[in-house]
Amino acid sequence: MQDDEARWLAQAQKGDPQAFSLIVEQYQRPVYNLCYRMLGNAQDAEDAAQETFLRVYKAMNRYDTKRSFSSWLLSIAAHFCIDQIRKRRFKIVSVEDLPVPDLPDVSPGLETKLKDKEERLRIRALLDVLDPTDRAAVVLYYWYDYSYKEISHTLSLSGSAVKSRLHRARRAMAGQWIDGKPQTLNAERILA
Amino acid sequence: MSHQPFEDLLFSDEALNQRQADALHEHLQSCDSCYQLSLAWSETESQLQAAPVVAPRTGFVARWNARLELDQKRRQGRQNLVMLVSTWGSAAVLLVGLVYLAWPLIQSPKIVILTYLYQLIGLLSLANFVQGLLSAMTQGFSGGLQYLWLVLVAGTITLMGVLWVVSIRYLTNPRRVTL
Repeated sequence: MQDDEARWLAQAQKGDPQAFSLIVEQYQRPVYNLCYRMLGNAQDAEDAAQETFLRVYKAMNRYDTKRSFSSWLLSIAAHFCIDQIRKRRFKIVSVEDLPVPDLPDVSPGLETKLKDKEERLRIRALLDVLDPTDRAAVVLYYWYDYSYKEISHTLSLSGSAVKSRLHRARRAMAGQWIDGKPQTLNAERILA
Repeated sequence: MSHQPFEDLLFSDEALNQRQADALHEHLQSCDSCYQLSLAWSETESQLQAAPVVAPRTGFVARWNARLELDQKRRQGRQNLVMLVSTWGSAAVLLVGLVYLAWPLIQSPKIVILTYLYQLIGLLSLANFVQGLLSAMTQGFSGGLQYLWLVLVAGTITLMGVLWVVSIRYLTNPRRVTL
């Protein structure tokens, strides 16, 4: 697979769109997931993922082959999403008012569907309280298992900045969790 | 009491040593807000770790190919427009420049006509002179010399023709040895 990818990358750098389509096929899921977790809905995530691949296609001649392609790709996606969030920052909309996207559903039962929807809303509510760069750091850390060093390369931050941003993000998400579920926490306290 | 050191321990992803773990545990027993925060973070973290990687709708690559095609068409259209505007713009600038230069002549066409007429007469006189010179030379030679003169002229023209063909061939054919 590594050899195939290297060949596709070399061909794509020469401007071969078919080779780049294979790269899109390979990376559609991680890029889409990053965009979805950053932007919070399926339509925006689709647009952002498509735009990311378009930008990467145009910038292929600037890609440094010594660097990991996935890091470079996710870096472009993350920066694009951060810009998008900053652009729409002034539109204050409640999370409950936003439509929950219809993601590809593998569960047949209504109960599972509702549970999934609830979990998606909860995750979205947690991530929505974060600053866009903090959100990107959290997504890369928890969904992609990136180390601090990899996150710092991807988001163009220092290692200590990544550490403090993740710390701040955890604190904010825990606070959001308390605001969202006070009864549950009190009940657990009583039981403990 | 400051909660900050305990929050630092709570949200750190580095492993705590025994002393730190004991201090945190002791603090959580006595501090309700930190205890709630600890529970909340524990649940939040498990929620984050359990969240799946979501995939796009089927046909993402096909949609991307369509988008790339559309983008390329748009770019081509923009390039064509830029080319058209720059060509027409350059033509307009040249036309304006030409009009500016020719304006004094346009205002007095008599001078222009007379100038061109004078140049035409000059050219005709030159042609007449060359014709007279050539006929004088041919009449000057007699018999065999006249024949030799014709051979010399025909030979020169043939040689020039051959040189022209060879030059064209050298210029148009690629070199066999690349440096």
